[in-house]
Amino acid sequence: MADRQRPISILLVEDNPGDVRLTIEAFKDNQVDSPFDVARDGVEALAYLRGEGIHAGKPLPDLILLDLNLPRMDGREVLAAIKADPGLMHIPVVVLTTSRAEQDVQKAYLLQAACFITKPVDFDRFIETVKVIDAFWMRTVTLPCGAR
Amino acid sequence: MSTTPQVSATSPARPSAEAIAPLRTLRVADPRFDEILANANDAIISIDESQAITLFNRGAQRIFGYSEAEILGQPLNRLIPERFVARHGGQVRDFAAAPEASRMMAQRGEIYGRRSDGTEFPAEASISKFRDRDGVVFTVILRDVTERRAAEHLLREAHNELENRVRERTAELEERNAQLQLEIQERRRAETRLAEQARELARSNADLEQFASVASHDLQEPLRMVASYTQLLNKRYRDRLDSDADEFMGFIVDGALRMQRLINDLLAFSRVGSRGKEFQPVPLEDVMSRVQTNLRAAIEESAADISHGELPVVHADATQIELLLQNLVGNAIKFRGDARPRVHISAERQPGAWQIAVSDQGIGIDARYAERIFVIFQRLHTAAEYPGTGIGLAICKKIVERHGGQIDVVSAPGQGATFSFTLPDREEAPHGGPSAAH
Repeated sequence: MADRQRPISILLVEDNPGDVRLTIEAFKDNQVDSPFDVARDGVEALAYLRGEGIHAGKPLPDLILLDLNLPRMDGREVLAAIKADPGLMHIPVVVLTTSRAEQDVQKAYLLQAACFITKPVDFDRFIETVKVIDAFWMRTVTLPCGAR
Repeated sequence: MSTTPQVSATSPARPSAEAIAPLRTLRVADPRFDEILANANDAIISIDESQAITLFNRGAQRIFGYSEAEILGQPLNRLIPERFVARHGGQVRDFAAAPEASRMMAQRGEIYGRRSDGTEFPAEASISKFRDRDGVVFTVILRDVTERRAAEHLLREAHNELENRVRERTAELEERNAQLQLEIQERRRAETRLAEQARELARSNADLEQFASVASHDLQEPLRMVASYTQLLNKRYRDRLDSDADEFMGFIVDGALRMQRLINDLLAFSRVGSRGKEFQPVPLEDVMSRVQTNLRAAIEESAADISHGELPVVHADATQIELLLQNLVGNAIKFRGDARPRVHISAERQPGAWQIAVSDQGIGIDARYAERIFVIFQRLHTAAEYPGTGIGLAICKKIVERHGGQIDVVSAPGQGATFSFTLPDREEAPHGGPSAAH
């Protein structure tokens, strides 16, 4: 078992700086002190996860928050690549996106997303959402041991 | 019409006493021949070489209208229409010289006889010859074929008439056929045009739905930024700003949230066309119980009385029919006025369709606005009176139209409203009657 004394680490895959900052603020408001790393698109996310280039030696995150609409390589492709990679497939991926389209939801679960969350427009509800993510993924569930 | 004289007589008449001599000889020879000759139905006429008539039996007397006494010794020409007389002599001479003993007359056309009253009749005849002591005796056996010719004529006329009719009918049919061909071509062209229009429409529909869908997603993002950061600003800096700033930020957030609802509604509206499911038999009784479950909060809060009569199984998209009834019942509860809402759903059989009606006793609608309420985002009340974007009935209308039906409202202010819509039967097989009510 990994030691659960340390806070879980998160990779946020999100291209919109506004959203990145908003997520950080929401975590801050919820007194979540998990270490955050941000990948700005799908290619960077996979490079990060595979420890390529400047990401060499970085530990794997415990949880991935993935936006679907990303430049270069979109979230669906990133999700498919993670779930096809034996070294990464154990990491839960929470799809956190603006979309509430049924086909996006279907596709995400087919690609084995851990869950699908539509970002609320209302900031207070977003804080609530982040709180739920924190409560569930960081305080309730037991995650597999990250290995590199 | 070719008529050819077959017999001619050119020589002048001789005294009848001389001419009769061979007949007497025949009679003397055997009286039975005399009887046969006398009783024959056909005319049997003999002439001598000078073409004087030497035998004229009873049949000939009846057919030509001469008595024996009148005609014996007379030239054969008396029995031939004027116009044939001239060519007759040659014919008889030709036969006299021919090797055969008899021949049919009229081999090259019809022959005619002339009666004592001058009238003519068509005839068939044969001529034969033999030689005796006094020379060659020619005998003509002739039959009046007036009736047969008349019958033939009638038959020919009937035949011609029939042929004419067939020709006319054929011509008519050909003309009609040509017309049909034209119509078919015209219809084909129309079909092609229609198919093109349908393709065009489907394309523009798909474009619109794609647009609505994409716009909805892409518009949400900046909206979220506006609303969220305004809220964040409000949260972090409220103490450092005055009450005006607070109010302004409230308007920004309100506007953004309202815009988001509009976008979501627009998306839902566009999905009626693009995300529709296959039609299948849907029991409306089941749909109504789901609707009541979905609306439980509103029903309990308003203590609404929801009832329904016998409801049929309809051919429809189950999800959309549920949304349709849910919107209508939800509206009936929402626009209830002061009294406890009473909503009744009923079904009525129409030719080829079911008509479903949702009646309430709520605030009603002025007839002037009856059309407008089905238009997207059209509202008759302020958001403060009755919240909502004005999408519900537009979605209802779109759902009903996708099912090939129509939606209408009958209402007056304060008199409640009855929304009714039709759901046409499936084309191949009509559905059964209503199922029993709960």
